[in-house]
Amino acid sequence: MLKDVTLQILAQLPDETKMTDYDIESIKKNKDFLFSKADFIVKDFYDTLFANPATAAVFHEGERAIREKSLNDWLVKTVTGDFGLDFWQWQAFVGILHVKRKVTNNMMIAMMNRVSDLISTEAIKELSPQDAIDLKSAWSKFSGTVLSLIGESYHIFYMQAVSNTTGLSGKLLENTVKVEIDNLVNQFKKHRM
Amino acid sequence: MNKIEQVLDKLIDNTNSDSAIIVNSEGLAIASVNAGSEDRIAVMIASLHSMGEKFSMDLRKGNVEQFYIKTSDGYILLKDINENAIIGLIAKDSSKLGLLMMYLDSATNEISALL
Repeated sequence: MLKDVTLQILAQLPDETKMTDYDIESIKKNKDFLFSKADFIVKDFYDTLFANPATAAVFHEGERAIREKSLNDWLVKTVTGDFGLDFWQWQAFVGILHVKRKVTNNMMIAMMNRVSDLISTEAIKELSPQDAIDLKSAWSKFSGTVLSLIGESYHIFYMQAVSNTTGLSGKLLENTVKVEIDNLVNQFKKHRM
Repeated sequence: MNKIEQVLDKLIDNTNSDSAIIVNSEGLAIASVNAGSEDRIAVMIASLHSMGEKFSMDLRKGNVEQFYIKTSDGYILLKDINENAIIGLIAKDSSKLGLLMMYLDSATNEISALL
């Protein structure tokens, strides 16, 4: 099931947005740099989440250390990954775990962008200009793919859960949503005029 | 007005109902008479029908043949025409349920032959 969903989502991404062998090489080439930034990224990540009430509310008391280890493990596994199907399937699975914890897509997208910004800024400071450009581009494609997998798999599994519970087919759900979206678009147009 | 709409119109006349609609299982309207927000009513009828079927299946109560909802202002009746079409009748409170069902059965048979 997860494998099919992963394949379906990856197949819909434009080739230009997917990681190339050069991108994978760039991440591998700079893996020591990325490892050296792991503690800094993890600290900033959770400092940010805990500083904001909406994101802090996701966590249970005393779980920060466990979550920090999880993010560190994710970074290590990502940097040393082979970027094959199993790897992307695992990234989609990580996304589902976040949904289970009520980490919403907007939180995930914002925080992934923050990690990307941190990596870019540090890369510009410490790597050669070419390595920094290559790593920024590689990480951008990587995070875009991960966010696509997380966002779309969230949508697919959400719809499947509704469908399984109510008996509404995928087509009927689509048409139901379409009718409501058409109404919203019409209302929006009316208010703008 | 095509033949299916004529049957729906006659059904409304005979039962003093508000509107009638035929939808497919994907929630798309096949035909309707007096159904104001046709698209919306179509998806709602198909959704109600799907939920009923799922519920009935889970309870092992066989296939859904008819739906009947009594509201403060009238009735909403749904009935299978065939595997892919459902007829919905929105009736006034003053309507007699027995007559509604009888005319709905008759209209269903007529439409089944036309689809």
